Amino acid sequence: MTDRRRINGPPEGTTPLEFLTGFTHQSVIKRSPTTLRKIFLKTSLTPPATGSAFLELPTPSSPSTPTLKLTASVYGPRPLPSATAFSPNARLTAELKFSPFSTPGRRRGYIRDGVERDLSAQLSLALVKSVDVGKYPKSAIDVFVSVLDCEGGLGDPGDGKGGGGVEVGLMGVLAAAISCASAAIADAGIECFDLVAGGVAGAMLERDGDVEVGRVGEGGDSGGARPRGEHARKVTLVLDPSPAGDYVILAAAAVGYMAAKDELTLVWTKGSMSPSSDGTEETERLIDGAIRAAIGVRLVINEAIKERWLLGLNEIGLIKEKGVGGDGDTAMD
Amino acid sequence: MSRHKNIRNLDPYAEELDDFDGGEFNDVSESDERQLEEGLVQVRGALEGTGVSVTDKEIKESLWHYYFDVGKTVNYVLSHHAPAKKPKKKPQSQFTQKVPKGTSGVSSSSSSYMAHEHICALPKTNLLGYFSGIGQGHGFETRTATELGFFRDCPWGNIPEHRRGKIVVESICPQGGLPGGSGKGSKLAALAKARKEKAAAEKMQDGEEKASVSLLARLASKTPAQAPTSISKPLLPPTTQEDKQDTKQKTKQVIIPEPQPEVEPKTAAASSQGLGHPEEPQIFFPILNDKSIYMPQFTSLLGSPSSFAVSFFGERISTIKMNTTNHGTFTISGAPTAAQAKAFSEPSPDDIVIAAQSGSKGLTNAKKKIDKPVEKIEAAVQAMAIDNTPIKARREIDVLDEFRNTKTKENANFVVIGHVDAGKSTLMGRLLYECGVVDERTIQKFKAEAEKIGKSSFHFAWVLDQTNEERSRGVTMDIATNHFSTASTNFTILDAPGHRDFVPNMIAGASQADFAVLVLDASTGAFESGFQNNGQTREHTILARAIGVSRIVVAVNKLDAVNWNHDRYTEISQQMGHFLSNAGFSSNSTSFVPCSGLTGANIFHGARDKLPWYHGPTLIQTLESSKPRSRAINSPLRITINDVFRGGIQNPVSISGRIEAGSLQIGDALLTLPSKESATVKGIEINEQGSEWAVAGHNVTLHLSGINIIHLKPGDVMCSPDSPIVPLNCFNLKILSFETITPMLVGIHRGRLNASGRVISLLESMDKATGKTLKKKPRHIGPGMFARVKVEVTLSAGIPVEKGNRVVLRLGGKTVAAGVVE
Repeated sequence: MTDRRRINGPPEGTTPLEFLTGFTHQSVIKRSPTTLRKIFLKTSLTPPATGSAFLELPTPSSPSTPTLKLTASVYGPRPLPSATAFSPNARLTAELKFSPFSTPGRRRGYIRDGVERDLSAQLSLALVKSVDVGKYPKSAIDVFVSVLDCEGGLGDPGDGKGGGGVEVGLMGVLAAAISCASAAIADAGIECFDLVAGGVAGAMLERDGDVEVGRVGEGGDSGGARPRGEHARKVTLVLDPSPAGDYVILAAAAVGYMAAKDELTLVWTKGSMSPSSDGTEETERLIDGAIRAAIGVRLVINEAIKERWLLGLNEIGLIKEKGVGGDGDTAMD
Repeated sequence: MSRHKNIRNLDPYAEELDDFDGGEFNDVSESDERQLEEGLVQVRGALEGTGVSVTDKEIKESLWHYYFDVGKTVNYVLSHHAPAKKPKKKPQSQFTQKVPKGTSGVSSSSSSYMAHEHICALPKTNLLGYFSGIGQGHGFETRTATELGFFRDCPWGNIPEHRRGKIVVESICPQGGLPGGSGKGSKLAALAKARKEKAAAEKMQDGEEKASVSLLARLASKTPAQAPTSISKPLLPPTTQEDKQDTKQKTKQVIIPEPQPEVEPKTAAASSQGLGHPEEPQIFFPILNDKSIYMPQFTSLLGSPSSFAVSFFGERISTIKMNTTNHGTFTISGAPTAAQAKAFSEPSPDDIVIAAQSGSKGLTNAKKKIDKPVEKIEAAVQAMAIDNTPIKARREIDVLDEFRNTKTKENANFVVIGHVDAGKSTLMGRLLYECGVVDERTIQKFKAEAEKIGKSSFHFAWVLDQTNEERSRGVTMDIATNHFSTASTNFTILDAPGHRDFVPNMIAGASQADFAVLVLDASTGAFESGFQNNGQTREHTILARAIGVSRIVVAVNKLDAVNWNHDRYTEISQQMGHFLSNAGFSSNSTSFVPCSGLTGANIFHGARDKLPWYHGPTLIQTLESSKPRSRAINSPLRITINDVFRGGIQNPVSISGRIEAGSLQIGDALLTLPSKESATVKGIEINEQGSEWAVAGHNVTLHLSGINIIHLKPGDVMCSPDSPIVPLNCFNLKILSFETITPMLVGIHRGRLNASGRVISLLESMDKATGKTLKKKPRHIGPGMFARVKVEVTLSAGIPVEKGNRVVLRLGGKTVAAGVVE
């Protein structure tokens, strides 16, 4: 302790300090478990594509906070490559790609990895049921979804919170990709039976008062009691769970849902519920919840397509510039 | 315990500075000492009159701390050495400052949590944590958890779940300290801390009580329900414990379960806190104990774009204001792109070409208008609409008057029927040859070709059998239509197939005929085989009668094969005469002609040398005398379509068929059934000659416009739109049965039209002669009986038949009944 003017290190050395990568927890929007996050969805973004759409979950607080942003573009129906065999139906392919900068904390490689391949396959499954492929023989419809930003929770090593439970980030990405791609297909004018909306629901482990005492904000203290041993775990259904949320998701389900036809095009569940029962009831509750989330998303898609349609009518002069009012109907005769 | 560990475990303010107090000023150099003394004087001067009591040592310390900055030191001293405060307390942990004992009422767990919260924002040196209740020495009086009785009732092994501790890993918060592990914060951080403390000190001056709870007060104003005092006062742990827990700020917290009695009130307090936010009832996730799922709030789901999105879409964000209150499902399957929607705003290239073509042929009056470019488009649009308007203006001919005054030859259609190989086609080929329709060269060519495949006697038949299959098999398969004319009449031959597999085609031909020519094979055994139960001589005759052919010419053919035997001819005539009268042909509408198709005897020219015993007319003369007597030209128009074809570029849609009733002229509008499309007559051909009009009995070719060819098929009926036929799905038939009839599936034939149907009920059987009811609702109807049955059409919406139409019911290749629609 001779030189107090300088900051000396300890004689034996220390481990380097660790800093938090970001304050994602700080910006979680407060909402009830049955409230969906708001969605911004707009079509006709990519000029060369036949149809396209952009979807994002807005973040009100800080613009640097990662949120879900993705674009979908649809090319087609266009002729199949000459090398391929004859197909009486349109062949729909879907490809989902994470941008290298999209994942928080870690840059992704450009090369398609297993996660992307898996999501692409699921996306194409979810979409193909809605498209009237019989109307377009010998054609290809290609859907490309590009994830520009996501909230994490992708199941990467080191990305997890380590608190147990399942990661819902991929589910959220897939559900949003389904909704966005469906809007893009509608934007392309491809005949569909229905629009597909994606929805996610999760079962949240509830540790009594400790469910959500996470950092609520600067200086705030919910004053919750200390977590204690519980005889029975309470489980609450939460719609549209955020991977940035500070809670433990025991199990989650993502669905692709066609609201008008009341048909599921995709179901993806993961996690485990209670070890005692077979989990049928819980799974059904989860899927029901996901469908409810999808119904909500569907309304957003409807609005986006309605807006696109009015824009199209406006372009060809069927409606006047300011003629859109009232109930949103057009001035067509 | 090594010195490092000591250092690491030190509390930066509580302990290190205590050490510092221990007189390490001795190391200060001379110049520093001088500067300190000067600063001390200045500070003292500045503090004059403020009433702050502070020792020189403390001032020096502050000066040292602020690098001899007098101003800062004064501020510091003023803020931290309020009259009531002991200077020694200054560097203590903020928590003891902000959560003084008297008011700090939070329970141990919540206060520990709070401790964590705030330490996060402070320079943090202690990476290792204190364990709650387990002392780590350093002069603090500590008691272990065991001493405190934590594990009093706990077994050594098999610790129950509710007694186990939970390890909560707290994420590491960034801290203000610089890397390197020094216990002290950076100067900047110290400055920040000083400012904070100054603010706190100013509040303290307002009043001890208020200042002491400054932080908590702020908290409480946000969340009043959390007012700590009332909650946890009875739960306060021992004071020493509290100090420990207040100051603990850890990367790991081991939370030891409290003994059971203490837990209960705490839980209540906690849950009341968790749910007790009056202003923010929806903060995060309230505990939902019921399993119901609430529907999401849809109304607010439309998000606003981020700045990122705004940069993407630009002004489009607000191009069209959507009314978001209308959330009804929007049922458009695909939004039209602008290009697609524009695609039909002007006539297609095809329409323009068609319009130009029709204009160039003078078929449209719109041609004169096509001068200016604007009018050109208008004309093109009008050309699209021309489809439904007459190409030529209707000339309003009084067809009936014209027909009466016409001097052209009469028309007659006849169908040639008879057993297979009776020589029908050969006879007709001969007829055509003799009438000069087919020239000698063609016959010679056919003869050579027929000899080549060993069918030399078939060369006349080849005039009518034109397809390869018909020629190689030597049988007629479909109706062949040919025309020839005599001095008085234009004849249309409908050469029907004799083979039993093609009886439906024969029905189609017979339905177009005015009368029938029944060809009989006179050679030994052949006539009999054709006349037996399954012979087509018999079936064709009955069918022709049932279809409505009332006149019949019996040509006894192949007499050359029986050496022109008169007896044979007489025998056949008698047998047939008897049969025909039984079948319903009156004797005066029946005539017999002996002939030979192959040799040409008694067809065009008489053959006195071979048939010395015959004095009657030749075949041609008989045909001329068999002209139809009356035609239903006053009835509404009915045409059964025999064939639909493309009559060339000018006439994309043409039909052929017989006008069964009524009359028509160019420009007439027609209605097709069952497709219910309208069409306009563009041109009429009778016997391949153009005509302005046509009446019942004519076999015509009509060129149509304004209709797509897909709406027409053989068997459809064209009628006038004024008096259309209503397609029937279920109707009553008065039938003559040929087989036993029970409720069964049948094929319904009417000309080219055939449909699958079903006899659904037998209404009554009737007496043949008087027509009186013999039995109501019979179980079955035997062969050869009159009956009334109800027939239903299956597999289609209905067939265009009306009262008086004659239909044939067939099943499995046999004709089971013939009847009239009632």
